[in-house]
Amino acid sequence: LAILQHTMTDRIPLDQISFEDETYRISEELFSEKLQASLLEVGQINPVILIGQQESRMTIVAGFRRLWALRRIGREDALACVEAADRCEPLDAFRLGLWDNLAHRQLSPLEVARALHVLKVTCGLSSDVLTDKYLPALGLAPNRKVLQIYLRLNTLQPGLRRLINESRLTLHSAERLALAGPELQDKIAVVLSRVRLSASLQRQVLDLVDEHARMRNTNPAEVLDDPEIAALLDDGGLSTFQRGERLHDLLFRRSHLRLSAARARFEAEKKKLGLPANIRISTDPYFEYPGIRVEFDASSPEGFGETIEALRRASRAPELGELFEETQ
Amino acid sequence: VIAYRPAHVFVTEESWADPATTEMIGRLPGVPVVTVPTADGVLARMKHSSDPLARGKRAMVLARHRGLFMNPCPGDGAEMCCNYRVVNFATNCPMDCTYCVLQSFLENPAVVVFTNIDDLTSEVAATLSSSPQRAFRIGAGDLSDSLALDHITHYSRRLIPLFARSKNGTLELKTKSDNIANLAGLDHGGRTVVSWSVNSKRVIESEELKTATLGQRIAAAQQCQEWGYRLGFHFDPLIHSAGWEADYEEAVKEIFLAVDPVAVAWVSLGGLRFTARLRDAVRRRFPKSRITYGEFVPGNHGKWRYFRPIREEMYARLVSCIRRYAPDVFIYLCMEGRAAWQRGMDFVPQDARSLSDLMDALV
Repeated sequence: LAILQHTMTDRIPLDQISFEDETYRISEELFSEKLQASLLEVGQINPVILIGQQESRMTIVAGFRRLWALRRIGREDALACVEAADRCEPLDAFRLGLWDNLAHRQLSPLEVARALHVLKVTCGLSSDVLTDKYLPALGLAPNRKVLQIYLRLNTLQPGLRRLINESRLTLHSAERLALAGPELQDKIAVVLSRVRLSASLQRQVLDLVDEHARMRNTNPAEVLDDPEIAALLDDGGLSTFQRGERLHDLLFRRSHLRLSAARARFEAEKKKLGLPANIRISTDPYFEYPGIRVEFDASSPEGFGETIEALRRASRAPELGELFEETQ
Repeated sequence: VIAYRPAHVFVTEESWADPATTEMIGRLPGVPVVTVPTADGVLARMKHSSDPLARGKRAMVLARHRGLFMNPCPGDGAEMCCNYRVVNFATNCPMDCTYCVLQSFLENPAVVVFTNIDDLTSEVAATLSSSPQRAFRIGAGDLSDSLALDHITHYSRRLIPLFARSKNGTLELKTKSDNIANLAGLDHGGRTVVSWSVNSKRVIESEELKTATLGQRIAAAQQCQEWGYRLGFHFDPLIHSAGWEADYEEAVKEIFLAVDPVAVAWVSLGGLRFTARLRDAVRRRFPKSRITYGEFVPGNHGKWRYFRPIREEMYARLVSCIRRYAPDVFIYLCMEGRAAWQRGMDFVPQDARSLSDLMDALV
């Protein structure tokens, strides 16, 4: 790189560096405990890369986390390679930072999104170049759709970004939510931060919010503005996983009123039979096919006989007809 | 309805040998014609479009079909299936119904018409004569509309006489168009049923884009009745939306006040159903459409359907309404199980075979 031929390495006072200018930032999290411990123990080993601006503070190209850590532990300067702004193309500068990062760590999805955004917007690279050259370099398939997904991820609101970094929001959900407005993103982030959902349940919950909104001709944010949902999220007696399941159940009930009512009636009729716990009665979960299914466990011949007797009693109970009727 | 006219016609090299090719091109004066090695060669021209399916409909491809033209109906294997067969002379359709199943599985988004129509008619004739004691009901509206392209293909003029000569075959031409001009003056021998897929005016307006209005379909049906054809009406897909009861009653009333129920061979009912792939396609292509939002549950054939009591309520309501105007008309359910028949209909066939026999006896 031509840039490196003119670069000088020096100790630069931190107050001459613009920490606010995040044009070339890739790191999603700027604070790293491990990095801070390393700097305290052995000091700065590798220089950061800066662009020198005339009569203004220097722009960080690579080394955001090192510089933030140095400032945090009270150092006054940093070892840096400095390139003059008038001799430095944005792309050359950014490539230094990008390859520096790729050489020693795996970028998270949001960091990949940031990198692609900088390459496209700040460096002006075409979608073809990004797809063919940079996606493989970043460990992704050279596919235009993949590029679109990652560029979209970069627009996510902070709440959702945090959830991705904590592995609580799948990339699939994130991609979908990136199409939503900031208000809805913030609202979803609040809800998801208080529940735990498997990838499958997360997808179902987002589907249900969307479907419920469309069925009511309202927007998804209003679906979530609901006292019952608020009470559920505030219920300290439930684990985050339980809250997640109940949230799904609540939304499902609201968009499947008749099915939920049928399930409740079936359960009520089943209860009336008063069968022991080792006998389980079920029907098609969607009532598509009439009839019931009976399963039981028995651990001894006596237990088997008692089970058969219980089933015989149930066969004579008028409630059994009602139970069958619920499945017709 | 403005008759379909493609922006381009692509002809595969081998199709130039079929007389149907030059006949069809002769009916499209001024439309640019391009020769391509294969039908798939046209795909590259469309794949970068934001909506390849919409773009594809503007291109007509004339190509030869390899393999069999006739297949069992996709409903074959359902608990109560009418044992119908389909014959395909084209794939894709110039109309653009939001719920159209074709958008979820056709690999080529262009309107492809098969030029080796003689192979098709030979295959149909051979099938009919191979089992002379058996009745065949064969529909031509599975992978395309039966008549929407007929002003270009004139295939109705080949198929209708073919069935007129048979003693055991009935052709069903199923359409949402009013493109019936070619049916005039044909000796159909009572072996062709002209059917309309119908819906409420509200659904036609919002979901059945580029199709004939209900009034236009009814007027075409009246004309076909005058020409002596038996008629069919398919209320499929029924859409459960606000005001559906009154909307469908209005449609039923308009149809049966206009046509003589005696001329109606059959009426079918079917609730909206879709695969997850089709649902995604509908939501992507028609974001304003609300039809995929409702109380749907997963059912057989990997399709989502309305919760069964909702379907049964719709069927029962439609049956009762149709009976007011056409007490004796034959009504059946498409792709439904016994449970829906029992609760939604006023009779239940013993099994699929008996349903098939009943329908064979109607024509």
